Amino acid sequence: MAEAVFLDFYKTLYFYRRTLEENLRRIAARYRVEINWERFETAQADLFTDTAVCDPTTYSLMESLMTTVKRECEFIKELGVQEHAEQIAWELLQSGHFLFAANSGTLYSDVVPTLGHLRNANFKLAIVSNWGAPLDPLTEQLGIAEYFDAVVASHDMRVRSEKPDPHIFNYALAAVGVSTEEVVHVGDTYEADIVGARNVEIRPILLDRDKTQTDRWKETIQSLAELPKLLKADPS
Amino acid sequence: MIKAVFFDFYQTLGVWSESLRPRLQRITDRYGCEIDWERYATARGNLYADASGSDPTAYTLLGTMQEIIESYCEFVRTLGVQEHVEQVAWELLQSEHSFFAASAATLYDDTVPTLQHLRDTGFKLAIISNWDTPLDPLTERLGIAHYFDIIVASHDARVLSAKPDPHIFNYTLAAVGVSAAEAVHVGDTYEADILGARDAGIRPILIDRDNTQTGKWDETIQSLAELPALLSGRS
Repeated sequence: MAEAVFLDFYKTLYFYRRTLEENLRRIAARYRVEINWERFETAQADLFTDTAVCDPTTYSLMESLMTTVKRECEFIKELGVQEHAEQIAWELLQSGHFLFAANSGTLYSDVVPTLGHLRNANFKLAIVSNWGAPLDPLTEQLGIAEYFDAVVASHDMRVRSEKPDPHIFNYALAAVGVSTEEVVHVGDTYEADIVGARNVEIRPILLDRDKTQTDRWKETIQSLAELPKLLKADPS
Repeated sequence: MIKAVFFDFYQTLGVWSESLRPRLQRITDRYGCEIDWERYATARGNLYADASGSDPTAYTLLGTMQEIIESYCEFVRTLGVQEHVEQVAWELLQSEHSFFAASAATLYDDTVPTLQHLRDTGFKLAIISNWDTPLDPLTERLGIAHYFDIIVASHDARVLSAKPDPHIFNYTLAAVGVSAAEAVHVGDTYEADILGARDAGIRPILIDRDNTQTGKWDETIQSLAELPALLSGRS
């Protein structure tokens, strides 16, 4: 009998409304600077490779914060900006980087109704996410923190383990106070969410919002709204 | 003929909604750590003394960011947090510091209706604020950026001048494209807003929301809602 629901965060509950390119266009217009768009794709790919979140066991949040700002400056300069590169880089981070709790992202429309429904049906809820910082500040800003018994992020110093590693799931189980057979885990990434949950004997549910992963996993849903029925939490 | 209205930001359009203490309590509860509240008042004084009042002409954003991080880590450590100091400090910064995209600021109830009204009447609008960073990101998050022709912050690398210095007012006049005689400036701080605007030849209006500055300046309002009537000559 399921008593708790674990949820992945990115692309399960939350997504970004605007791309890096859109944010850069808006900010560059404010500074009236010319961007060399021909270099953009390569520069963006390099930026994402260099700032990809590293091993959670050796991670330092503040160090990463400063490195990220400096790397973002280089990115801006690569695109031909010479004046105020530091400040433009900072504005860009403010508009879309998790280390700055930028709430440029949005919850999918099925998130709040489903969380409310599951909560009313007495399920315990947790987030289990591969994320470069604690997720409490962001979930507070989004107004959903109150739904969760635990918000568990891989690069939080109290956790230091990322899916599919079993430790992060075991950490969440202990924090919520349930055993593996009492839990389902819902996520959109096959390796991290499905294989990861299965390895610790948590029942995995694949969320395939865009129907790009058909037949990948037997228990698949297209929307979180299908969850209450699947878990027989429908009061009707 | 008045064509443009300039506004101070802090305590004129917006204010921080929750004080430091309850936020600190909430965050440290999550980490299960005890705070030494006897040290709080002193530590808080030091924190804000460190964090304020730098000279805009000798300022770099990254240098200041590093200093802020260090002061917040020190603050948290002074209060007895031993484990995860960096992370607790980061959470605190996220909850209150404009450098870190915190949207803890709240607009006063009269802000949006007044901006909308003035905009609909055809006034040009600007913010002139003594602020550590550009204010566009914060005003975007608060949903008011689109009301303004320009948003001018003292420590912005394009400005580098803090009220009451005339340069920040002249910068704004040029950006908006009006003369000093065509603008009014509304703010809550006598020295920065009233004397600063007057010295630049701009008509100053003091906003005194709490009635603590009675008799200080002849043109004083208690709420932004008084502005439309004041500027149309009716009163």
